Amino acid sequence: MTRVVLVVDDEADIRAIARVALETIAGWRMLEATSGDQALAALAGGVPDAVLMDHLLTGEDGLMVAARLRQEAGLTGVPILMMSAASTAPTSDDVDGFIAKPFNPRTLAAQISAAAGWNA
Amino acid sequence: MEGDSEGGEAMSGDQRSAGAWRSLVLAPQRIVVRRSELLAGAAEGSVFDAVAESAQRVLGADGALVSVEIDGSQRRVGASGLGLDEDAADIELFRRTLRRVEPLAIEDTCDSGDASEATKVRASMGVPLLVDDVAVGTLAVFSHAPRRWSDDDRLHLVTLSQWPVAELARIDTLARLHVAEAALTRATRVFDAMAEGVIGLDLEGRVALANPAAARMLGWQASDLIGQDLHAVAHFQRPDGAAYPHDQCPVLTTLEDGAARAARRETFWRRDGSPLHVDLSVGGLIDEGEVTAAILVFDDIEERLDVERMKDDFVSIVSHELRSPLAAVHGSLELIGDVADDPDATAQMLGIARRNTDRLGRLVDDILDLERASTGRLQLERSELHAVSLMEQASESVSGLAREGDVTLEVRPSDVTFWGDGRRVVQVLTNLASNAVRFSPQGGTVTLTAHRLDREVAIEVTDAGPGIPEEDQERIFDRFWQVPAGSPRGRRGSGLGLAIAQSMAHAHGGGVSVRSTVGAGSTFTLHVPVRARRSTVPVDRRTEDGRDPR
Repeated sequence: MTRVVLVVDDEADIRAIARVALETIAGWRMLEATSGDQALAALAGGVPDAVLMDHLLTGEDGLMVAARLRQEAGLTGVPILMMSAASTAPTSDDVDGFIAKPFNPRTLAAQISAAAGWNA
Repeated sequence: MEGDSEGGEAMSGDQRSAGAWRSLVLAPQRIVVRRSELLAGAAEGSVFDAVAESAQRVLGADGALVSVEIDGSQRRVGASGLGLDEDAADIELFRRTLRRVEPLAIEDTCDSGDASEATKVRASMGVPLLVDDVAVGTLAVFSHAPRRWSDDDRLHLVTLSQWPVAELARIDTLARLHVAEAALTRATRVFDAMAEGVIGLDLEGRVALANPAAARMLGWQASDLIGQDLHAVAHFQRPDGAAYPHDQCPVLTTLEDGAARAARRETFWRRDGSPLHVDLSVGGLIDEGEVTAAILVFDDIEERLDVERMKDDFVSIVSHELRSPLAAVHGSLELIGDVADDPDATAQMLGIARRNTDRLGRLVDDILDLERASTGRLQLERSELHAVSLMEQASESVSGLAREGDVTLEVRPSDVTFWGDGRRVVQVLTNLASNAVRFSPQGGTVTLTAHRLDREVAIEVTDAGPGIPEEDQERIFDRFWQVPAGSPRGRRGSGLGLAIAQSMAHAHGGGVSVRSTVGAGSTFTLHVPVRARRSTVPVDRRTEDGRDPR
């Protein structure tokens, strides 16, 4: 089925790669944002099936943005997956899973499905 | 008294320094030397002459002598009567007396084979002077005629010999005292000069002595610290505020068992309540198998911890900064095959790979430059420079970025010249100009101006951007510091640009400063001192071992 994933990353190149990975290869749809404010704005247009959040965003970090999505946008029941290059996964009550960075774009959709607990 | 017997010659610093340690290390030898000096001083008009005179009178002899071993040979220290300047034979008599504990009496030297034309001595009696059961000298009486020495004579001579023995013991004690005082003075200076804190603790854990470094580090007056329960005043809690139980304290444990131990990253608490991070070692003072005290040595490791933290930060940031472009390169190349039938997507993926490869290369260059500059290994190739030419080169390098943002670059005419490394100065100016363009509003202007001031050249790069809040104005020069919110125009910087610019300005003996008002733009100024035409690396930029890096 066609999933919709919101990717929050402040690096345009990483978003471009994720878009090819999710849309061209997996046939999903991708929304994108570079910051907490943009992510909140994106949610106003529709609720995605999952949020893929970079940990080290410029300004607010990924955990802070995740908290805002839960509290300010009232986002519930949608898994927020944290992307990080850190060896220990940054985590909080707002976060449901972890995707190691750099990710392999060819298997990104499968990784998201696994982390979100979706049956492929 | 210290410094005596070190010779009257002027000493070099090295000799003096060596002397300081010699007085501690060679204390036993110095006691011997000091004793000889005191004896030599005592030999003139001394107690020993009085002893000899008394012995001559009491025994009705023709003469008397006192000899003492000084510097390995018997020397006469007191004399009375006789024309005893010619003492060739005395020496042999002294030597024979010294081997005894009983008096040696000779009734007639002609019979004993000790006759000597020179000394005119026919009879003699000597007693060894025993200090701590060792014969160190003699008291002897002489007669020109043969004489039979009575028991009373012996008794009187032995009794009189107690007097020079007491004098020798006194001199020995005095010599030890002098040397001990000198050594104590030295030891106290060493104690006071130690950079480490040293605290002596009694069995109850109270401070019995503390050197100035210990008092300073702990924020106490040394005199107030004495008598304090150290654990209670300075070691009572862990860094997290939890209580530090007595039975877990390495210092107090050593007071229990006497074993030496070391502990890293302990936290003491200063008198004002602030933490003091230390490495410490503690040893028990053992007297006849019992612990009687402990000596604690500690060192403030705050600076080292800071350096370690900075290094950790640097490594983690560098690895992140390197990984991000690497991930983009890797990801885009991975996808090339999947988008092969879409020329636009293929071009996009190749563009990503190329851009991020460039970014990686720049980052590596930046890190190397920064490392060279901050460790003094940056080699400056100085020549006479025309400021206007450097400003134009910098302006040219950022002209593409300026066009994209519709920013005008203006280089003001200048005839300022100065001495420096042209390539590096252009690098600094390009850095400042690139920031100025990236933060300029659309249609804005970035101006480069050079001024010749009294002792320096100042080159200013001014923009009409958003300005920098005062609280950030120092941090912008930190490595990897990035504007917290909002991406400026153009490529993402490494966060190293201003740190590099500052390091290169430092290598020129100058600096980069900033004036900025929020909402009214910023001016970054490169200052380069005007100096003689010599290529010098400032002392503070040399490598750590003091070598000139060139």
